[in-house]
Amino acid sequence: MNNETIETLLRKAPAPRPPKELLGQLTADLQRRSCPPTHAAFAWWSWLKPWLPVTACLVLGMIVMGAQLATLSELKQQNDALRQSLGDFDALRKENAEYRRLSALAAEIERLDQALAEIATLKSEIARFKTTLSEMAKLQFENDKIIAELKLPPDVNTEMVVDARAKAQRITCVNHLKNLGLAARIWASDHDDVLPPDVLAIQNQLSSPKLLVCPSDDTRSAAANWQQFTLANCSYEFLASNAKSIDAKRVLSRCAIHNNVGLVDGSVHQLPLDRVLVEKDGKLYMSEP
Amino acid sequence: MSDQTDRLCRRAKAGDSQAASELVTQFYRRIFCYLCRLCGDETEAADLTQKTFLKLWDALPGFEGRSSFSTWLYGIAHHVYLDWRRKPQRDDARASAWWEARADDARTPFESAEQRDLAFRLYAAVEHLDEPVRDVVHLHYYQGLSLSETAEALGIAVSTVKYRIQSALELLRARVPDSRSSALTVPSKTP
Repeated sequence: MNNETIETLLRKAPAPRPPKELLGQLTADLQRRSCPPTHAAFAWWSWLKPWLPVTACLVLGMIVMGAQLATLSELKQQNDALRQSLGDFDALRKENAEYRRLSALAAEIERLDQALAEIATLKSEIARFKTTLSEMAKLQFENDKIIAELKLPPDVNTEMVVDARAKAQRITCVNHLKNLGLAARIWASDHDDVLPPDVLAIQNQLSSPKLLVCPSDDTRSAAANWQQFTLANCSYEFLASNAKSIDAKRVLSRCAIHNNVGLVDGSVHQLPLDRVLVEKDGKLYMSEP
Repeated sequence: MSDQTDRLCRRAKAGDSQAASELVTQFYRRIFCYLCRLCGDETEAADLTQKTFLKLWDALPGFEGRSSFSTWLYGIAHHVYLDWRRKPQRDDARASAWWEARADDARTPFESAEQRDLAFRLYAAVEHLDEPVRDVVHLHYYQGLSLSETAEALGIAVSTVKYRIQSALELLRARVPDSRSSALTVPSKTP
């Protein structure tokens, strides 16, 4: 038997007949799939397929956004923590500012205390000056009295009168030097305890330019007013220009006629005519007796 | 693939149940014959035919028309048969028994009883061939698929199909001796 015979016979193989109900069963199977899954599934898929790139981008964007939101949340937490610490820092700063304010107030109070102490010192000094002024007023009254007594009739002993008059003039000179010392100290109290440079600076502190002329000085006359005043109208030597008022024993002023010496502390001493002053470092002091 | 089958396939993919019914009507006999010759039982063959068409509807959306619809359908039927063949309940002798039963059928197209006898001995011998060779014989000779269609349905190369056909013919020629010489033999073509 050759191949062609075999092939011919094979091609004549009997074909079995399908059961009559098979077609019905297959058709029923088909109808049970009323919305063919191919149609629904395929239509759904064909509708979704073009949107896949957009959907993928949306999903990716949402993932990125989620990550960014997480980062943002973390940054917010850090920000809140920093704000909290900043608030604490602000509180510390306020406390510090309050401390500084209180420190400044304390310093101000200390300065005021010092000023008060100085004011108290000045008040005591002013009281002392007032006492001196009242003494000087008494002296002036006595002087006037003496002068009045000196205008005696011609039959009174002229030597006694002359002697009394000289004593009165010297006392008046002492009075003048006290006024001069007081005026200088008052001026120094307004100028950081520095004495004036000369008598011209203390015009406001002296009641009259007549206080600067020794009553025994016949070579000078008192100025009528301060506008006409010059150093030629001053009998006294001003010997502590711009000196410190704390150097109490230093010589401030001197009358060359009577050798009356006024010191920086306001006191006036009637020195003997032969008593000389001692110089130390350019400053004059009363010598030891 | 014929134009009509192509149109029916496209309509069925779009959800036309009428087109799907026409495809069933057009192909169910062939699929049944194929499966019945393989498994040797009409009831099993009907069941396998139903499974084949159910799988067809599930797979239809993915059919892109690279092969003919019939070839693709035969491929599904072949895989359904392979799944059935793996079952332990199948009876290998049933197919041979079926062929023997067909031999007594008076409706066979053979000219004589001797030819019929020879043919059925041949068919019985086919059932004893190796599975790969037997599958090729069923598709190419019994179902009338071309070499390329047989290759596509089985998922093998055309050269493999040719080789298996050649092997089948040689084996059948050796196993089915011809008891008559002139009456049955078709003159071979001179090379």
